Amino acid sequence: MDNNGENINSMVVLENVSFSYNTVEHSAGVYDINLEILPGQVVILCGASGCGKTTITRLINGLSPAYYPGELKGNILIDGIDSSELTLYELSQKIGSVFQNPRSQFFSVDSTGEIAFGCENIGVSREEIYKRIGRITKDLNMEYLLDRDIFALSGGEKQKIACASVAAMLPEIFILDEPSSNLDLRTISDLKEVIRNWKKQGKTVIIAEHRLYYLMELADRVIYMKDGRIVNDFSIDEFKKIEETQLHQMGLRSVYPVKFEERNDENSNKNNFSFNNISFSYGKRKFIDIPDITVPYGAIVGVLGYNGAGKSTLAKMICGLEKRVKGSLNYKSGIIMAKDWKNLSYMVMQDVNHQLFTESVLDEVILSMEEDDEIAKENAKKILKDLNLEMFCDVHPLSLSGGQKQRVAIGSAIASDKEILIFDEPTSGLDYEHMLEVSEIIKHLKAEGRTSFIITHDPEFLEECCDYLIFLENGKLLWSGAWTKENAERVSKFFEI
Amino acid sequence: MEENIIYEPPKHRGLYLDPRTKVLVMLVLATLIFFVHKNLILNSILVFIPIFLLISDKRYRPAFIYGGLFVIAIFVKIYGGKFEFPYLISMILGLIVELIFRFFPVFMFGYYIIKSTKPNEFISAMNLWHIPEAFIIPVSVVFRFVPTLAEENKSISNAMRMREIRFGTKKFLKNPSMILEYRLVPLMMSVAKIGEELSAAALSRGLGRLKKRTCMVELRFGIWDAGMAILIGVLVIWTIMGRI
Repeated sequence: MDNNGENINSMVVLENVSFSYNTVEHSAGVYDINLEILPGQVVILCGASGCGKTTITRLINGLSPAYYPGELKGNILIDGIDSSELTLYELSQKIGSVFQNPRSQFFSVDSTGEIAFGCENIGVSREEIYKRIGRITKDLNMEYLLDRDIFALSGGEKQKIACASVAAMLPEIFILDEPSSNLDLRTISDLKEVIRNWKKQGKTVIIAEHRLYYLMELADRVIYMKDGRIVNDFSIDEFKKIEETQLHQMGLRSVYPVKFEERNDENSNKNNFSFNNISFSYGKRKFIDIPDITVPYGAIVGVLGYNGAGKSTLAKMICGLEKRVKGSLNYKSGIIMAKDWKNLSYMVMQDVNHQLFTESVLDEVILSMEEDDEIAKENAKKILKDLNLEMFCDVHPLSLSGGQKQRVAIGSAIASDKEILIFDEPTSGLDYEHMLEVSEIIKHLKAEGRTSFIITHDPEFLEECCDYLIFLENGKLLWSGAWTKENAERVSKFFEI
Repeated sequence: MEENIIYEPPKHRGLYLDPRTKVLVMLVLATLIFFVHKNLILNSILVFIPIFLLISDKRYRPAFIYGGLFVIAIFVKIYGGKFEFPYLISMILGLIVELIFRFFPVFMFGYYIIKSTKPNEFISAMNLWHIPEAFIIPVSVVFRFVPTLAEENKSISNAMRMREIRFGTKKFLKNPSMILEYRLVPLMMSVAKIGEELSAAALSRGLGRLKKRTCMVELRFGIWDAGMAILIGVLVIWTIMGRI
């Protein structure tokens, strides 16, 4: 690595870089990283959760060690300059960063102010800001998002604003840390177009990501990491040759569109229950209006549809979280009115942090039970054992990892004896192995006779886990049923980008 | 070639105040309010200013709730003496009425500022006054956090309802403080997490050198600011005259 002539041409160089965090964070450190990225390359960083890919993005954009402190060894050169000599402020003009969570990366309350935010910080003149906003919103095809209240935008729209905001600073390098993990398919294809646009302009793009399939046409290079080290540095052609089973062994998601096929209906010998004439209105407009949803007892139901189709609203209705819901549920030879559905159903939220309240995992489960005596304690321990959580009984729930928290939330649902469980995007941002774990747990719930509704945008998970499908559009049920030939084709079509 | 599409900001419609005016008026209001308690008309005008501004910003709900409270408070103040209340009740009533007259106007004005000002406008207004960065940045984050708190709070309420954590259940009677604890702990955790990620995002987009910062909104005092200045001037003089 003493060939300096070569380094001057590279956009990003990491030489023998090791980094470990000072804080007791979940994020993993990285070791002996040697990496050289040429201008105009689109590079994917991939690997199982905790492999250190996020840390690499932070080392390049300077947040580590400046904001996330830790011990850094080795050299990092950005556009030929040693990054330790640059402040975050200077780095921010060369590197644009887009993060995972659309909710926590905007500073303004209005969309246009947010696009201008970076430019204002680095002192771009007002006229120039107006010009840049005009140009970039046209490039990214998002004029309709100008002058809106950001809090009223969807996750995908927020992520587009975040991309526009960094693009307006005209950086040479873009770094994206799992940008798609909160997006649905339609907005993922928007994101793909944004990256294509940057590639066309000759920008360098580095993306840490679990979902790979949408990047296959765009990427030049795939870097595979494991336990904080770079294991392979594939060209995209080499990477495309890797068999799917081997990708799964590496802990990676599929790079191909998932094949959905006709299957035997596992629930065909079971009885059905049904929601009848359910509706819900915002003001005068009927937002959800469904005459009939019929579902087999004990099915694992995949709830599909685009953002805004009414999936989350339907989920909240079933859990009794929306008021003024009309309709009835025909369940086990009884008619149950909407206001009593909450006694029957429970939702595992996308952000499970919102539903963990107590000081220990055991208390969390007992909280859902009627009694809190010794018998309840024994039952709670048994539930935790089934979920592989028995060693965490006395641990504070909020100190667990994301997947473990999710299992605690499932445990408290089981303890409350609810028979209908709803999962809101349980696998967003999970690698292959963790996705399989969630799938196993849900299948286990099925074996106990519970019915699950799963809102998901994850094709591999749908294929792996669900045995019944319902598809919503504009608040209406478009179709539903088991994996018939026709439905499998419909699903394949839905997941095309 | 239609190369140069330039963004045009929407025109301010209706009442628009410069952020500097808003902050100044709030400071004056907060001061005057302690000198006017003998003059019911003057006090009412001070109370009416934030209500009027909230309505101008289409915040009808808080405006009417506060307006309603104020009307009740006036009635109590005028006719309250005619009824014989037990000592404790009349004391509490008096306290509430004083709160509505004295503290609420300032609270409501603060609420109006937070709801009607964009963080970037606020930063550049404070910058023009050469207020230190260490004050401006944390305060500007508050603008962003008020709606976030509301969002998070709603999700947590939903989660509590699903687990039947509410008043009156058997578990509640055993440990009534849990209602507060179970709401605050997740709220604080998620606010801390959002705050951390938000800072990282803001730093990576160059926040930190306010001296060089520009603002896409042009700050200029306009006709409404002049009107506000005259109104405040009249009120100050009236207050001083009343005290002499």
